[in-house]
Amino acid sequence: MNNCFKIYEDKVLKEKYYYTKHKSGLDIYVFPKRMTQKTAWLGVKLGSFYEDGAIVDGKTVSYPDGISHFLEHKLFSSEDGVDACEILASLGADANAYTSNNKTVYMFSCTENFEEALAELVSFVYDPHFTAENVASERGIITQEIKMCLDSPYDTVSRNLLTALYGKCKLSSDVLGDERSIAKISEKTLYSCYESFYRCSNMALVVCGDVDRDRVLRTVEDILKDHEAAEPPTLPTLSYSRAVKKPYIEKRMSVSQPIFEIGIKDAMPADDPRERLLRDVAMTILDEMLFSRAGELFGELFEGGYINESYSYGYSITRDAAFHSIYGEGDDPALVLERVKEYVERIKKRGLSERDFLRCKRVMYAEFLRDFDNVDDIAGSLMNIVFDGGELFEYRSIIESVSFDDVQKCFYESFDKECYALSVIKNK
Amino acid sequence: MMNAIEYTSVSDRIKIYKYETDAFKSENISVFFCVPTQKEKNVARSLLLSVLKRGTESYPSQRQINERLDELYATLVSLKNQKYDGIQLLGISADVIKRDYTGDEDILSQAAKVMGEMLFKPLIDENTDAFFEEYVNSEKENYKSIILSQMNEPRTYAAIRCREEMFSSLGVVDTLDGMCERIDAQTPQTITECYREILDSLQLVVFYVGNRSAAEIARELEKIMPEAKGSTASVIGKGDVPLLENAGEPREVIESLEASQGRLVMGYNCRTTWHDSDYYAMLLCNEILGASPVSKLFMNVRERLSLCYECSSVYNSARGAVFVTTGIDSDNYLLAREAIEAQVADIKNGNISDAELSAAKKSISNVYAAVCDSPNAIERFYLGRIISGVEIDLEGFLKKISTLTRDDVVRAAQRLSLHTVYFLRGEGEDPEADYE
Repeated sequence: MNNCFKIYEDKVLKEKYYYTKHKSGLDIYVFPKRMTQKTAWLGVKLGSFYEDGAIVDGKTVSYPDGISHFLEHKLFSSEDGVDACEILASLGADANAYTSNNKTVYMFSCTENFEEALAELVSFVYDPHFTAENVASERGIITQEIKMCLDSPYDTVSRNLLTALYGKCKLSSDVLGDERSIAKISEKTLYSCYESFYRCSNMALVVCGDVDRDRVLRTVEDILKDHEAAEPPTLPTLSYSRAVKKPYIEKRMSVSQPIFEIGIKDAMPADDPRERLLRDVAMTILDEMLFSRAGELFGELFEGGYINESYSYGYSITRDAAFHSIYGEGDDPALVLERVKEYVERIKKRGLSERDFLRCKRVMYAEFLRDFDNVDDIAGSLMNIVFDGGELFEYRSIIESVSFDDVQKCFYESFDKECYALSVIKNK
Repeated sequence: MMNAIEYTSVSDRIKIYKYETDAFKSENISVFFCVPTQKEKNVARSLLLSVLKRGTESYPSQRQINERLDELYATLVSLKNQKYDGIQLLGISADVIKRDYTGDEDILSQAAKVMGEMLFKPLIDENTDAFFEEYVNSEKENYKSIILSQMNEPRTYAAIRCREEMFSSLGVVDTLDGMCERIDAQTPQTITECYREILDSLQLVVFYVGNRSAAEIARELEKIMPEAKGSTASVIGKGDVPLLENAGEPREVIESLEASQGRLVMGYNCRTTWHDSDYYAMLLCNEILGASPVSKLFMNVRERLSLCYECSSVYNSARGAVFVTTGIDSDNYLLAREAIEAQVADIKNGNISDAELSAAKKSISNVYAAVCDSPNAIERFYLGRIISGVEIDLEGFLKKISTLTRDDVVRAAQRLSLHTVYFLRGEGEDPEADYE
């Protein structure tokens, strides 16, 4: 049975994992790791980006905003009234799930009864049970979740930044939907959406821990033996123009001092996954060079009292969208934005430093390496990369091979003046 | 009883605790100043810690320190400030990549040098013989903004307010405003004085997770330690944490805020700390009540009644209290409060199914068995217990949990006494309001 697994190995990280495609179309990844904890993640390529406009069996489908997340909540229900969480808990497994803009993931972690828990995870995800009653009751719960996020200035500042960058469209819509959109969700729409996306060929299982890959495969086979590979949905392609929709967006809430997020829109991501990986690595190193706490900009802003310790930055790229962001707190966000713009222009004239590049490349390697000390981090990274069409260890080799020229090229074709947006939460 | 920890006393000033493992790609070392807690020095000590990261003799700015740490394979340095039973640990922790992954370069000893600079050779203004005023002032502002930003999220704010109201009579919890006043009163001189006092009677506690020998760690420390001048009396904690008396009738505090949701926090006094024989039963009781997605609060207040998205409980074993928290439509306040009280009553009455009991035990075991998968969790589990003299290792801990019975849980639940109900009523926010 061993032979059906393909092995990926990385000599620098001293790690390996195994891949196979089950006949149902499900991609299975097993990452052995000698730790006490074991984890399994079952993911589907369905998130807020894909709720409108996917092509399923030749037909274009459209669902209300927030349906992916609603499905995530409701899949735990079963016909006999015993929640999947309860069954997993009785096995000693801690169950969880999350929905993002491009995926929904169900997972558990445990230290014992791994195979029984894995069987339960696969069973409940492939056995939906929705009724008018259980959908109505879930709506009350999700409404409170939506309100909790609306009351959080941290969630609001990020949500608004996406609206400023992309306008009101799928790229900026909330994963949770809103009260109006979730009112349109019924057991019928849930079943339809489920049938469209929850196909093995549109899903992946990632397992990490001290587990036996053949037994993982057998457990899956037992449950999915009657599943025939179906055509996966064709996910919609979202597009956007280079310039931001609105350079400034503001909301007033009860905050002790203004909080803000600067977004810098990047060009549409390339179709080729490898090209996206390369851009991800180059841009992440670039952001580290420009914005890190060891950099000139942070020094100026922090020492000058324009921002406090709450500061973060990063580059995000998926198949559908890419942008840089800088989060901070301080009395004059507009001034900070001006300083950031001036700084970037200054560096464009002066040029990047190769010494900084080497240091930041090392930082990126170290941060990537650290992810391999935790089974959840491994499973999460693997899920993200394979769903984006990449390969985990290729990412590591790109970090090694990326050149100063690659980073310079990214720098000069990015950060155009019309690509900046500022989202601010001010006190009432 | 702590077989997992190797203890070495290098001199009367340094205690090293080591947890041997080669499970990780990095090794972890924390170096703490060990001092008796003194409430009036809390603020100065917190500020001291943040000033130490601003500049050293060789790296005079925070930027230079960060740059150096990044060169050392992004060594992660964090400031730590913990209190256990009258002893305060104040220090720096470093997560360092092992030489197997750095092309055989030994990072630990270089990182220890940076830590040594931060702890023992901070930047001092020659003119005033104190920390630089500019750094102190900026850290004061930072500290205040962190304190005040706790008001930004209704869920965090409500939790803080409930704790403030509940413990106000003990005088152990600072109010947000009180904290800001104390921060304002600090000067470079007060903080420098606080620093020199710590150095004079220097006691270091070191916690190391990795596979080097304790002797090697001791050698690294000796390289960075200064000569201490003062006496070496060992630090002894005051021991007893004051516990709150139960309230006859629970206090109800209602405030309002412009928000789309109301936040309810219910403070139960339980007078059970980790020195108490009922500590383990209280952990399990809290697990059954509201610490998991199959807990009574989750299954009833959320799943059955659909009142909320989040309803959970947290056991604060330092103060001896359990806090239940939820976010609801403000009109449902009384309904939610009643439903929460009903769950607590259920446990007190012994209405705990075999499935609930067994799932809760497994859930706690699962979380604690996984402690050895993370250097941080290892330190969190062992260090506090070592300092407090709670002599138990993970194995012993898991055994205690596994032998608990329903009667133990019921006995622990009897100790839960509702003390303070805090409700932050959400008013007037239109969730669909446009943000132009």
